[in-house]
Amino acid sequence: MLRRRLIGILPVFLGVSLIVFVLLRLAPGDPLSLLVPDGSSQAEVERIRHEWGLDRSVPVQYWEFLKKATLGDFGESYKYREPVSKLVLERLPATVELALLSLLISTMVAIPIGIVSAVRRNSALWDHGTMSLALLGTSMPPFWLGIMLIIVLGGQLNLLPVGGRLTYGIELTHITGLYLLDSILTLNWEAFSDACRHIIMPAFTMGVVMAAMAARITRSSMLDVLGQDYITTARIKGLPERTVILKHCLRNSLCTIVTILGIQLGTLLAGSIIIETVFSWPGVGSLLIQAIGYRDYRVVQFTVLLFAFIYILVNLLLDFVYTWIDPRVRI
Amino acid sequence: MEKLLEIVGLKTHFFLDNGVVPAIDGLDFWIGRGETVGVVGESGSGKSVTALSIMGVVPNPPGKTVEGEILFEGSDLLAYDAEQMRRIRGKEIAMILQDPMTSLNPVFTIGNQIAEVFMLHGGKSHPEAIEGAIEMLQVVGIPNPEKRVHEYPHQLSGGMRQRVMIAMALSCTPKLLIADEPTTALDVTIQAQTLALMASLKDRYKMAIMLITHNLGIVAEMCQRVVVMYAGKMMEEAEVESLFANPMHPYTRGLLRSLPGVDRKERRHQRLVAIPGIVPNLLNLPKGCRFSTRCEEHIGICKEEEPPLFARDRHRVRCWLMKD
Repeated sequence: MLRRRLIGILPVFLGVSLIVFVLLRLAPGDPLSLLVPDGSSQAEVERIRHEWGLDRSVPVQYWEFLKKATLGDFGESYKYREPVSKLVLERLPATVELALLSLLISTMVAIPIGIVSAVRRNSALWDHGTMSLALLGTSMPPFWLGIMLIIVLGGQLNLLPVGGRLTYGIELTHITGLYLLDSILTLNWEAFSDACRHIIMPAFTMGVVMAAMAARITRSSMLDVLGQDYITTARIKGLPERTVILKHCLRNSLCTIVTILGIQLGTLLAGSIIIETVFSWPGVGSLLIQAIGYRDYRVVQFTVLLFAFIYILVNLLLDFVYTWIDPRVRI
Repeated sequence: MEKLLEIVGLKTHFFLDNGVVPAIDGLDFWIGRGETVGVVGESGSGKSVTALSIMGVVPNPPGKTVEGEILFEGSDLLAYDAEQMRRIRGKEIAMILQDPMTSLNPVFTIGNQIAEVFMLHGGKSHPEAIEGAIEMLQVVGIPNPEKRVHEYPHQLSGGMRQRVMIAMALSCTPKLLIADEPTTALDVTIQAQTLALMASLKDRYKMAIMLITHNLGIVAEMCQRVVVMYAGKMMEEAEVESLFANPMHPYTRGLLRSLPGVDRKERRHQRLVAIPGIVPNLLNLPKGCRFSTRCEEHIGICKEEEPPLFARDRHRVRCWLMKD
């Protein structure tokens, strides 16, 4: 079964690459502005265009791209003149670190709130109060929240740094590329606290928006399960209410909650483009937005394929998690 | 007979946005030690809510037991706090729900679900509790229990699942078993098997059974005494033979007339007689006797004043016709 799933991934990659390839070339603008020095003659421009293969028809270019891509060669960036895979993968840990911390914040906030508001349904504080906050959270654009935090916490109160991952001058040995983890592994507490101060605002911004949605889903899923007969069975056995909720009910709600977390990972990747730009976070998202601006085709192509790959990987992982949560599910 | 459970003036109401629903509105009956009492009535008569009230698991909000006493071995369960009540539930009083397809948790093995009871009330370790679960599966007649104990509910048939529910309920040898329509969701042949199993286990464990059903055939077969409920109140109570031979309340007579008689020649070609009308809306009960709107024998006072319980020939009947 796993083999069939893996084979199914191929057409997805083909489709994603084709769409990105075509859309990029349909968009106005020309990467040659990056490649050609100022004041070059028309002949010079054409020579460079030919050199980079940009004078060929789009289908031919796509075919060339595919041929090289299967060998792991995604070409050089027009702007940085470096292999795009190296360029992007260097910045990947920053994005992963931010995504994981946001997901952690979201989960830690959303699941308890969802559970409590379902158990205390219709209570003013625990249900209506938290759900109003959740509504506020879902309706707040993350970039706006980010900018507000920067203005208040970073600007006026001057409590937190407004951009970057680490203050210039602080030494940190890179092991995994996740600064928080690296600083713990090397027992470098100065770097740890500095990295924390840098990551907390962007992670909170992304976490809050996701938590709001996850809390609502957790609540409705818990309410659904709480009405099931087997919850009555658990109660009439004499189980303490805590066991009824956290064992019998939560385990059944987990499938829905996990699905939402999986979807949120997609949101995280897409959201990273905005949040990384707002907080000048040196991750893949901010690189992507620059690359789109410069029409650095190859960087965009590789990044989008990488996002697709991560998304597919996470969903595959989720399918395994489902089988562990619910014995009725078989891949 | 010694009273195991006695319900006195029980009222369980549901507080909804559009009014208060008196699902149980002053209920009195008792169950003796080792006795099987049938509770019959149409849907919405308050049978299941009575069971949930005894177990103390009426969904709250919106439901709440507002008045009365539930005396179990002489002490009032309604005065117990949550922790005391939890120790009664599943240990002293156990319950089987109606639909075995939905009353087992789909994500845990049946062994673990039975073992939970042993660990909770018997203080056993997990391996001991699984041993206990295997033993109980054997008792309720599930073949190959050592293997079945590790299976999930979806791997079992409906009849098997109800046996698992029975095994779970009887794990701590309760003194009272409340069975809420235990066979309604099962095939007819499986119904008979399940009832036979319950009857044999009742003798083995010497427990009392409160059997909630709308099937009078099951009552005749299983019970010593019957309580007939209508719209949240008890209408008639009598020993089984006496009730079937001499039903006194018009509602009881209506219920008996609406049974198809396959074995009785004289009735085979007759049309079934249905009780006209439907159960009244509990939000808007009629004045006087709550059955008066559907009763063909009602007299003047029936629509004026609610009848009390009259004692007649070892029956208790809530009907003005029984006055003097």
